[in-house]
Amino acid sequence: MNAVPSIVEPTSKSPFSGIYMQPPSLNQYQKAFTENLLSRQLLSASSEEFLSHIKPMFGETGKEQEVSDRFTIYRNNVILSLSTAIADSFPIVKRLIGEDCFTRAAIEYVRTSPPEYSSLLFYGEGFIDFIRSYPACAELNYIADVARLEWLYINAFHAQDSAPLDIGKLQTVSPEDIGDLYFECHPSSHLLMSDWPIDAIWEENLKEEVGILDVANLPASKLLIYRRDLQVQVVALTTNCFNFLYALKKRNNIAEAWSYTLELQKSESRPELDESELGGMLGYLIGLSVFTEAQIKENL
Amino acid sequence: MPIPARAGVGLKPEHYEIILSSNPDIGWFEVHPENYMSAGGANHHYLGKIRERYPLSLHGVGLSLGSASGLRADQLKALKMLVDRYNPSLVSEHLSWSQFGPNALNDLLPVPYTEEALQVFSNNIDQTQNFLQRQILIENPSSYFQLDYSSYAEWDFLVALAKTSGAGILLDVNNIYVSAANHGFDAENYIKNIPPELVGEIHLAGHSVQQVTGGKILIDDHGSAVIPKVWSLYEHALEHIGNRPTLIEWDANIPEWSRLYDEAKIADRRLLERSTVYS
Repeated sequence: MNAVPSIVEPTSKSPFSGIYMQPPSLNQYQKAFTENLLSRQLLSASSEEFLSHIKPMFGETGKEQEVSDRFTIYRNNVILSLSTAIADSFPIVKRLIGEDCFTRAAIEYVRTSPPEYSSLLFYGEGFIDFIRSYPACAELNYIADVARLEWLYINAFHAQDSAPLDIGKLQTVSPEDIGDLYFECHPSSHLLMSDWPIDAIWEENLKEEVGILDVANLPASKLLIYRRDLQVQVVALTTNCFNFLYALKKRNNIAEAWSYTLELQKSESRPELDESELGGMLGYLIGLSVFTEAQIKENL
Repeated sequence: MPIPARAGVGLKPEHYEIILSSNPDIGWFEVHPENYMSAGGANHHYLGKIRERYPLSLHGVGLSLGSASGLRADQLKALKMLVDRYNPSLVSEHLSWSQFGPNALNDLLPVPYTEEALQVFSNNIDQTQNFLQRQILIENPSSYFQLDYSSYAEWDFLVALAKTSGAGILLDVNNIYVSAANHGFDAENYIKNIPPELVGEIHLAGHSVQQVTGGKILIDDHGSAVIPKVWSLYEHALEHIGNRPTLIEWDANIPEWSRLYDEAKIADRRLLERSTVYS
């Protein structure tokens, strides 16, 4: 290449220490930049040399502050863009704890856990545990479970597409073989259990005007989160139905999943479950379009 | 489907439905591939439908071509999957870095314009173009500081890089305006130094102003309309370079579709007037 260097200045006089410094390598520069980008304050050890190479443009007076201000634009941009990404992913948590508290938590989180990938679609899983132990939220026992629900919502939104089960296929199965059927669930489907009524909390906070919920007296939640066409669905299941679907998702056939459901019902001393309810449960789940495939053999 | 020398706009999820229902007379659309690095769902559904009707440009913000430690294989693969899936007419990235070690920094950070940086960019662009099996365009960034040990002016660095790597240039006229104001150089002189045949695309966007110690800094936030002075600089760029596909970027405070469409029509008119006058 034959480019004519336009600005030749191999060494520079530091505005801070008055000594001449060798410019850093590109890797050293990027290391110091990164450290000072995410730190709470500019780090005195690495920032002084780093800032000494930034050119002030607005004259002698206040030039040290000027170069620091110029660098701070990047610090602010990065923290703002990442904390906004967290806010976009957890809108209901934000509503529950309030904007100020959420912003402080999100900034704290992005400083300690910046993303690994440039695509931020799946950034923020660690925020669930972070918010669970965030001191200001200590009294909101359900906050981490609501965050988990929002996280699964995002995952379901972006999950692989898959056509729902062709019901006609089930009609070819002879009645005595039904128990041997295995199901494949939609790639977006997740089951989530919480001691708290997080579905009611979540739904209420989607509304413009939030009413008061008696959180302590609402039932615990057993939820199915999945995508139907392009829409993410959050469905509250009965305990039996939840257990049944859980077993089916774990690659058990209908007969095995039903035994598992009965076993849990007995061990938890819930009202007796009649064999006749199996058909209704199965029909309900098929109606949700959560299955994509059904086969007699295990190797789906 | 090659991209015509017309106006295009950055595609936003807020506008998917209205674009599909109203079929606007727009030249093409551009997206950030990072927003589509997922397996399925609504984003891919709509992008696929829009791609059936319009040419597409993939404009990356996360490859970090300026990283001294090299590119991440997983980022390249994710980009390649989208290139294979959507067959875009243009693929572009930035003259900047955004990844250090395990940290993605989600901003287009400035590099010193040195021989070392030129080598780093050149290697990383080579790797990208070989992996994608196609040419990419490199966009001039906006920046808020310059380093005193840079040995090239940005325009010389960009041109030298395009020539050594075989990449094209995506000339962001707003970024030139912003950086010229922030660093005290002449925006028209920047454009004059770019060989027209290297330029494959032009970007236009709005910016904001921030007070710092000693003066004002322009911030490239893509959050408003293109200002008249940037439109004038665009005219100047068209005179020097000729008509090129021109993108209106509006990524923050996203307006109604009709407002964005109007902005694109302004660029389209300038391109059309020029082609009637000069062709």
